[in-house]
Order: sequence, then structure tokens, then C-alpha cells
Amino acid sequence: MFKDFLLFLFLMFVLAALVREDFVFTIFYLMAGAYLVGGWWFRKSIDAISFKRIFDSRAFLDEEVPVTLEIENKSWLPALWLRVYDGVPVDLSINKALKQIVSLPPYGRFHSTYYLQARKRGYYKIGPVFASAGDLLGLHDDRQSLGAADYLTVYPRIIPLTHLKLPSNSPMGTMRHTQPIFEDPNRVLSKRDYVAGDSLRRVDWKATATTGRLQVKQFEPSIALETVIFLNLNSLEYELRSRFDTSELAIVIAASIANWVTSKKQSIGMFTNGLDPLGSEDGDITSNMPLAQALPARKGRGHLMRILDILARIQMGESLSFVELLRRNYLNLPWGTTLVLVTSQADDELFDILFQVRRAGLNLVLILTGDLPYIQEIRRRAEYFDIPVYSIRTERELDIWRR
Amino acid sequence: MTNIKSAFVYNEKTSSLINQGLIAAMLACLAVALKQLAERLYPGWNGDFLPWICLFIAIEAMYTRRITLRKADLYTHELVYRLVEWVVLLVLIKLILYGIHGFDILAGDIVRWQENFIVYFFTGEYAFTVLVSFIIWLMATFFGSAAADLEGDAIILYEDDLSGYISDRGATRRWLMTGIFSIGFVMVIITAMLHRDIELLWGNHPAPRESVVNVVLFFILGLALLSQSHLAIRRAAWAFERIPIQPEIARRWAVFSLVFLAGIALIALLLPTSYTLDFLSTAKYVLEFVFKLMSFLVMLLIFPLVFFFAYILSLFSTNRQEEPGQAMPAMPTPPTLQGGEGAPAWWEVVKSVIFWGVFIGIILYAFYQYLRQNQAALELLKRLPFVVFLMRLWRWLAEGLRGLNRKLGAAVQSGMERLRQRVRGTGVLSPPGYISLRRLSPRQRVMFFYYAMVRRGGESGIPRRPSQTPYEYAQSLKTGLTDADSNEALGTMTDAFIEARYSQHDISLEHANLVRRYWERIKKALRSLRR
Repeated sequence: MFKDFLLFLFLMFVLAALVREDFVFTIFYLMAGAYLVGGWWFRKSIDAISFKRIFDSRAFLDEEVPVTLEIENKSWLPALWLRVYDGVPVDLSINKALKQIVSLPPYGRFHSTYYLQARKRGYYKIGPVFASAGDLLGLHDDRQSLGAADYLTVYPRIIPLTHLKLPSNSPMGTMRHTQPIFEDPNRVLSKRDYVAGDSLRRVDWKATATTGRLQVKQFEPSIALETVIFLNLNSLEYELRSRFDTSELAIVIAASIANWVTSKKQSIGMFTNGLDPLGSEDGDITSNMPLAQALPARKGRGHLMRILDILARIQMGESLSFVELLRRNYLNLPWGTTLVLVTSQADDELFDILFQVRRAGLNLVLILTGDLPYIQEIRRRAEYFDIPVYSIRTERELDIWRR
Repeated sequence: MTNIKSAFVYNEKTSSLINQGLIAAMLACLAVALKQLAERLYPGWNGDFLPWICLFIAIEAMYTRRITLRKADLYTHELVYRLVEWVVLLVLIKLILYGIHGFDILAGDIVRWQENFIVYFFTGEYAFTVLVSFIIWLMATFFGSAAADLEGDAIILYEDDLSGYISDRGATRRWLMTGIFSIGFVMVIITAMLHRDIELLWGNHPAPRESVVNVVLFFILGLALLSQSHLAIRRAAWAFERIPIQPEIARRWAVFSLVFLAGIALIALLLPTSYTLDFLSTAKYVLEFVFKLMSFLVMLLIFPLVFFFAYILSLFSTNRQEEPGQAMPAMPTPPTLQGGEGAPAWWEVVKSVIFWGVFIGIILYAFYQYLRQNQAALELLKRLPFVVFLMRLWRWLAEGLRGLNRKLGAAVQSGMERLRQRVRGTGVLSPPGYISLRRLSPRQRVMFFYYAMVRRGGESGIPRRPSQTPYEYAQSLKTGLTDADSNEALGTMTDAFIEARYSQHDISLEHANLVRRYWERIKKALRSLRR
């Protein structure tokens, strides 16, 4: 086509030279202009196209996420045709990826909405948008333009827990407790007559003045359940055949516990050796993916969302060992903190470090995911160190904390 | 899928209508050229009706072609139908001609038909109109068939197995292009011939300035039809991939392409199609223009200076009155040049500049593209001694200009900075070399002595670290200055500096003089330290 066109242009030029007529030159200019300006037009118009994706960048499992792709022509030149393709992750797609042919007038806009199904937790890349355009006569090669990619975070499943019992030795918190040793001077329970041996600091002088007898305050015991989850996602420490399911179960358990602790208005933190594409430290050598960021214990929904963000993005990989993760971090934790260890196995090395953790005044809860043939042996050893052990093989077994 | 199909079908129908309209209009343009030819051959004949008849014939031909495609719907054989069609057309053409010349001659003609039907029915005008109509009818049928080959999106969209489906829209497009350009070529030749005085063809009649709008319009419509064929190829690809399309694509495509081509045609009509000056003359005029422009700018710049000096010199003048004397004889004025003999009109210059600019631009662009494509040739060219010399010269010039630019920029920058400081007058201390102690305020003097102490301290091996506060630095200096007097002076100076630097109240001149005495003492101590 292009060659034929050029040949005709050449013939027209020859004819113009032979007949020396003005209008032949005009036709020559027309043809040449159609070729040159046509090429310039479509190149300019595709450069002036902008793409914008409008969607909620966070979603919970099984949620349907509408994504609106907005294409805008920011030029006074119309875009004759645009072939738009928006890449969608297979795990989320309901229908096929968005493909559309659009034509945009000057400063025109086009919207198209498609839906994503949050089937699996993760951090998904949506896009980038590929757009291609061509000229009016088909004399030039198509030109392509690439839009920006966006990301969708799908949170892991959160199972609402009701009866989770975590030990704590941290006094003066906000949770009621039964042990009188953890009396909280901010929580006055009642008053009684003074008996010999009572501390003078407990005397309620106003009540004494009112009653005419020495009165002392009785305090309500309370604890601060500062909890830190240690989540093991080192692939070498998981059994190969059940690696995927077990690690996903571990993530669900971590998310559910974090949610429960936050609902009790307590502090929660998380340390993990999983890999996070948005992490800050070096992690897996083979994939160059950084380790997930450590989150110290904090209160509030905002902090829970940060934990869930990481749990959504996190991936298993050959990274730091779980024992090393514990060794690096337990010394910085305040006395009385409860460590919830979510892992798939417990060997001698782990028990060695758990002994040290125990001696440092921290409480421990060991949650083992998946099938473990030597669970009795682990229980026996944990009992020796006074560490509660839970073995969870499926999500349904989390019902023990729901009754 | 239904939405996709409806969008494709709608677009295809729109395209089909547009294509048929374009074809009919193109053939009408061709008919105009044939009419002009006939009018030139038979001066006095008026064939203004011919393009309209041809437009109607073209539309009819494309419509009939679609009817004959559905053979099951035909009541008779296709050949019979075609014959019937032409009989109707012949009668209609005849009636149109009677409508133009008046139906009153019909009665006389009917009598003559009985004498010799062939001769009196098929008159010269009628025969020519029928011939042209037949040519247009044939072309419309062929172009209509080609346009129909560009359809069938729904089949592509729905068929899973396209092995039996043959649709080479690319080949159709090539056929269309050849057809359009061939007809256009013939039209160009006919119109060019019409503009010439060829005695053999036209006799002694002078060439009339026939309009060429139909030729330009033919090419615009032809290009629009080609763009529609390009859309058809694209549609086939999109249908094959089952990509949803907007229903208005075909309509917008047609509108945008016609607007675009009309715009290009307008520009093409404005562009010069001839030139009166050769390259050197054009270059001369361009350079003259540039020189004049630069002279004007220089004059504009130096005019205030000249005016100023003229004013100064005028102050020294003695205001002598010119003595009356004999008036100077008037200079003989040169004879004015006749139009056309002197400088050419500005429009001619502009036309020549555009022509040569476009010409040289095309050549340079062609060379650039060729060399970009052929790197080996470029490398070979770079090795030629003359080119090497030119490149070195260019580099030297570019480097020199760049250096000059840098120096000028730096000079202007520093000048501006100095001016700014002078205007603001906020600088705590002037740069070294420009300080006059007498011009400094007492506060500035105190600070000056302190900074001088810091500088001297640095030279004596006790530099002030950026993190050190004045008191911390004083402690550092104290370790070096052992005598009590100096230590006392150091403490007083540091206090004085803090006061001068951070307080709001006035600093007295006596205080500044006192600090100066302390500074003299410290300077002496620091000097001994250096030894």
C-alpha cells in the first residue's frame, strides 16, 4: 500500500513536471500532505492520551471490585481509533481482560467499567494499559502507548474469634483480669475499712472524712495484653507437599488474632520472615524481594490495617530462619509481652530460643499449622517450658476460639 | 456478544452508506471532467446536466447490484432484469433531455422516429450521455462490488472456524487504490489537455480556464474512500479478536477524515505551485531580509546611546545661526523603476522562499533518513578527510560558543548578584576584599572581629567544626591559648558576639572598640601559637 502510494506520488510529480499545471502541484501537495500530516496527526494524538483507573485499591476476600478505566484525549486533535487493552491478573478476572476500540473527539473522554473478583489474598498489579493507534490511510506503522499500572490489595480471610485466651503478665492495662496481683490503681473497685497492714497510700481521705472511719481503696486487677505475632514464612521450614496450604493457614491465623487483639483495644505487633514486594530489608537472594517490614505493637484500627496490608502482600520464600527472626527481635520487646508464634514446626533449636525468651519475662503461645506427626512430643516439651501449644490443621479448627 | 455484534453491524452499515456516497460523488467528479471534454470538443454545447445524471446512475447501479446479489428475491432472470434496468435508464435519460430542451419537440421527434428510429432516437447528445452513463454505471458496479467485499464483519465475529471464509480486504483495498489513482490520473491528463491550446484537438478555440475543483475533489473523496477501506481492514481484525467497538467509530472516522482531507486540500491550494526566482536569488533576498532585520535591532539597541551622546555634544555647541548663503542645488533624483523591472513583489519572494524551503527541506530530510537507515554509509562519510575537517571545525566552534556562553552567563550572574546585594543592603558582611570597617555598624564590627578570630583560629590549627556553638569553640580555643589574659578576652569576645548576633538592642561604638582591643590581644596570642 505504502509503495503504491509512493509510486503514485512519483508519477504525479513527473506529470506535474511534464504538463506544468498548477493544479497538478496542488494534487501532489494534497497527497504528500495526507501522508505526512496524517502520520504527524496520529502520533500527536496518541501522545496526548492519558489513562486513569478509578477503583478501591483495597478489598476483602470474595468482594467484587469495580474498576473504571478513564481514557482522556488531552489534545485538540481527535484520536481516530485506539485499541485499548488493560491487563488484569488471572486470579481476579471475572471475564476476559478489558479490550476496547474507542474513538475520541478533541478533549473527549471514554469510561469503561469492568469487575474483579477478590478470590485470593495478594497484592495484584492491574495494568498497565496498552494502547495502540494508527493513521487514517494505513500508510504508517501503528504506534503504541503504555499507561501506568495500579495495585490492588486483597486482604486475607479474617475469622472472627471470641474466646482466644492469651497469657499476659503486664499489669496496669485495660483488660480485666482475675489475678489480684495485677491491681490497677486507676480502677477503683470499692472501699473498705482500714485493717492493720494496709498501705497508707490506699487510704481514701475523702471517704474517711465522710464516714468518720479510715477507709481504704480496693483496686480492680487488670493487665495490658501487649501481643506480638511472630509469623514464620520461610519456605525451607515448611513441608514441601503442604507448603502452600499451611502457609496460607498461618496467614489467616495471624490476621484473625490481630483482628481479635485490636477489637479488645490492645496493642498488637507483627514480625515475620515473609517476603514483601514493598518491604524494606533484604530478603530472598534468589528473587531479590525484600523482607516484610517489622511492625512494633501499637493500638488502633489503623495499625491493624497496616498489619493486614502486609499479610495481604506477603509471600513465602527462602529467607531468614524463624529462630533467627526471634533472636533478632525478642530482646527489644517490653517485659510481659505475649509472643504468639505461628509456624509449622518446632525443633530443638526453636525450643532453645523459646527458653531464652521465657527467661526474658515474655509470655509465649505456640500455634502450629498443618499436619505434624510428632505433635505429642512437641506438646510434652512445651509443657515443660509452660508454653501453651495449639495445633491447627484447617480453618475450621479455629472454631476452638469461637465457642 | 449481542452488543458487540450490534456495534459491528451498525458500523458496517454506516461505512457501507458512506462508501457508496463517496463512490457516487467521485464518479460525478469524473463526469464533470468528461462534460468539460465534450464541451471543448463541441463548443456551444452545454452539458451541465451530465454530472447529475451520472450521480443518479451511479447510485442506481450500486443499489441494483445489491438487489441482484440476492438471486432468490429476483422475480426474473438476472440478465433479463439487467436489460429491463437499462431500458428504464435509457427512457429516463431521454425524458431528462426532453425536460431540459422542452417537451414541445417530443411530438416532432415521434414522427421522425417512424422514419429512422436509430438515427433520430439516438441523437448525438443522447448517444454521448448514454455512453458516459454506461461508463459510470460500469464503474459504479465495479466499485460497488469492491465496497461490498469490505463488508462481512458479522460473519467473522460469529464464525469459530473461518477456514472456508475468504475475505481479502487488503487485496480489495489495493484494487480500490489502483482504480482511484488510475481514474484520477486520466482526469488529470484530460484537465491538463483542456487547459492547453492544441489546435489538432480543439481547433482555433482558445483554451478556457476550466475549473479544476472536480479533480481536487475527486482525489479528496478517493482518499476518504481509501481511509474507509483501511477502517474495513481494521474492523475485520477487531471482529476476529472479538474486541468491542464503539458504534460511532465509522461515523467519526468519516467526519474526521473528510475534515482532515479538506484541511489538507485548503493548505495545498494555498501553497505556491510555481516560482519566479531561482535558488540564488531567493537566498539573496532571504539574507538581505535577515541583515536588515539585524541592522534594525542593532539600531534599536544603540539608539538611546546615540541620542544621549548627541544631547551631550549639543551642550557644547555655540548655537551659531547658519549664515544665509546660496542654497545647495537639489540632488537629481534617479528615475523611478518601472514595475516588474526592480525588486519582485513580496508575494513572489514569499512563494519562492516557500518553494525552495520545501525543496531543500525534502532533500535534507531524505538524506537524513537515508543516512540514518544506512549506518555504514554514514560511517564511511565520517571518515572522509573533508568531512573530518568540517566536523572538527564544527566541534571547535560549538565548544567555543559554549564556553563563551558559560563565561557570559557567569559574568552576568555575578554582576546581577552584586547588584542585588547592593540594592538590598542586607548582607551582614560584604565579601572579603570589600570591607571598610568605618562603614560597618558597631554590631557588624563586633561580628567581623569574631569571624576574623574564627578564621585566624582555623589558620592556627584550631578550626571551628560546623556543629560547634560559639561557646564550644571558645572551649576549644582555650585549650590552645594558655595565658589568662587571652582566655578572658576570648570569653568576653564570645559573649559580645552572641549579643551582637542574637540581640535586638543597639550595640554601642564603645563596646565595639572594646571588642576590637580584645581581638588584638587574641590575635597576638594566635600568632604566637602559629610560630
